[in-house]
Amino acid sequence: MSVPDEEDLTSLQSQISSHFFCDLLDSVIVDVASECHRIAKLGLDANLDEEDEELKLSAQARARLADPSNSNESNGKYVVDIFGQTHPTVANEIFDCMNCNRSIVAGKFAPHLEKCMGKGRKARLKVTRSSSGSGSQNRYSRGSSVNRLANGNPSFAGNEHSIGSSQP
Amino acid sequence: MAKHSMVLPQGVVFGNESIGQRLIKRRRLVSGIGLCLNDKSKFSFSVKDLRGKSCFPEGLRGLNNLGSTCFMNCMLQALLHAPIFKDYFLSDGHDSEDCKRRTMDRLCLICDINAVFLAMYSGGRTPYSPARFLYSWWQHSANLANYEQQDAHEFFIAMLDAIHEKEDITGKGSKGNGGECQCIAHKVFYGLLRSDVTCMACGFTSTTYDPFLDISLNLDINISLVEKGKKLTKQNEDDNMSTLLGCLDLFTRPEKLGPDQKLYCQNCQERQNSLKQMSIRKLPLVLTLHVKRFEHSFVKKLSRKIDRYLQFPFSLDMTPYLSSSILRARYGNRIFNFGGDESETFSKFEIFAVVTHSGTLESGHYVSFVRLRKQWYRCDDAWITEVDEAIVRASQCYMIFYVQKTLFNNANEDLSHLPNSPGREVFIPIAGCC
Repeated sequence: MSVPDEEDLTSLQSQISSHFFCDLLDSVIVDVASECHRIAKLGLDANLDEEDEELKLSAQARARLADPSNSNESNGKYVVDIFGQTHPTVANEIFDCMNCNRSIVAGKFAPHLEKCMGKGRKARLKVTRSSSGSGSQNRYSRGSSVNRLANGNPSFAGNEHSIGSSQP
Repeated sequence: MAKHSMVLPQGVVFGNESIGQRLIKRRRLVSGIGLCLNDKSKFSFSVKDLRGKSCFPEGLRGLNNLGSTCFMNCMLQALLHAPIFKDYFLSDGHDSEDCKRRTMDRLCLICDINAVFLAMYSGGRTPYSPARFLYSWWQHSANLANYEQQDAHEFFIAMLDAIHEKEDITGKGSKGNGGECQCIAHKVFYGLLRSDVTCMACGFTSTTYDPFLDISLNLDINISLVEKGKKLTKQNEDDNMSTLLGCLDLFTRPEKLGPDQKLYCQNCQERQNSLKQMSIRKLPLVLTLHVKRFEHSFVKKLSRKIDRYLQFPFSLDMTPYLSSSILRARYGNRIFNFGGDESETFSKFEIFAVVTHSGTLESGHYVSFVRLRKQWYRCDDAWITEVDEAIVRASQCYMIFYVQKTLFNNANEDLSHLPNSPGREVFIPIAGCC
């Protein structure tokens, strides 16, 4: 009988150690799995059912909306609101500007006020665009301004370095 | 309290009734003698029947878009219907008279927020133009040297910041670190985050606490897939659907800080690789979750919006994300909690509002949904419509508002939170009145 040489020994060692490892791993998995199975089977975790229900409802909701025959609810065309009213695209209520006292149409009030108050948003935009977004301690720094828009269309800037929000 | 007389052009009335008549009707409604409460089936009235307007929940009213102000309108709608927060304003929590006398400063943002509340809950149903508020807001942000927020989330933060600053009762400049601030923003929205940083060499953990106004969540997508540019097939998308719980899991998962972020370990006396884990030490009354749909890549120098659908529940149990749960899991305590734990009452939440965004970064539109008396309403600027909850579930959420379940149940059944001081009359402020 030949004496097992070095290579055989190390391969035997690694075989045995991986065997032990797999054994341990199996025990851990079976332990956790059987516990979860028991909880699920006996309905001990009330949340599980609730969570499943929520997922199901969301899936159903999406399926309903994807169905073309249901398109009337999801598109933006309104006939009347719940009070029986209709509204024009541009709000046509008229009131006086608090700054200059001129009569302004509601739907054009914000752009008017911007000029009226001399806020110079466009000027500010150029200034802040150059500042970098990171490096500032203040989570709500306005530095991340890349997606600021000239004409004030809604957009939003996130902050890329936060995991949670914090104090002001 | 100063009575602003209603300055309306001659002949303008709300519907076919005078304000007085509608107020009387509203009081009747409050005292329970009212015409109809939840059960609309008892009364058949057409949509044109203006009496029907008083059967809709209080404070439900459109907001005119003043020119790309839908972001503001949506946040206002959410705040207008936020439990406790709205009660504070409706029960005269901020005394405008007293405020004007004391500060002698014509600028008080909270007075103007108060005015919006009064107008929205006055019983009028034609859309309200929050012009005065916008003016006040821009004056305020000018003072802070901030520019105007176009982002609903930033506006929300700034608004509550402003309220806190004005109402800070704990003393000069206290940012909530010292004594507990009792301003309404703090009482309702602020919670406490716990951050544990563990040295990977020696295991030493340092813990810090930070107050939070809301939690910004990254979407739980498989990042590597996206970066490799693989297009997910329809089937894969369903399997990999992002869920709010998944995002919260991601938020509380231990995160290995990068090699450039080695933190100093007191034990090892040198910088080491570290593990960071967040958890929630204290939950607020109103929990605001913000979904980070904006992606900015410094490398590629581009920004884009993530349109990916995010599933979110209407009932949310925050127990697994509490510090107590996270710590138990960390130390290997897997004993299943069979309930009966008192703290669980305060970690269950119910949804009451969602702010959604559709469109692109460059041109998009915010719409909010609010849930009042178990009915969902879509608030699209001036348009208030009833929607089925499926519409809300399938929407692309951007900010989600939850309230503690105990408060939610109270708010829905109990009408006594409405203003009930006998002599109080509700008047509509002059500017921006419809």
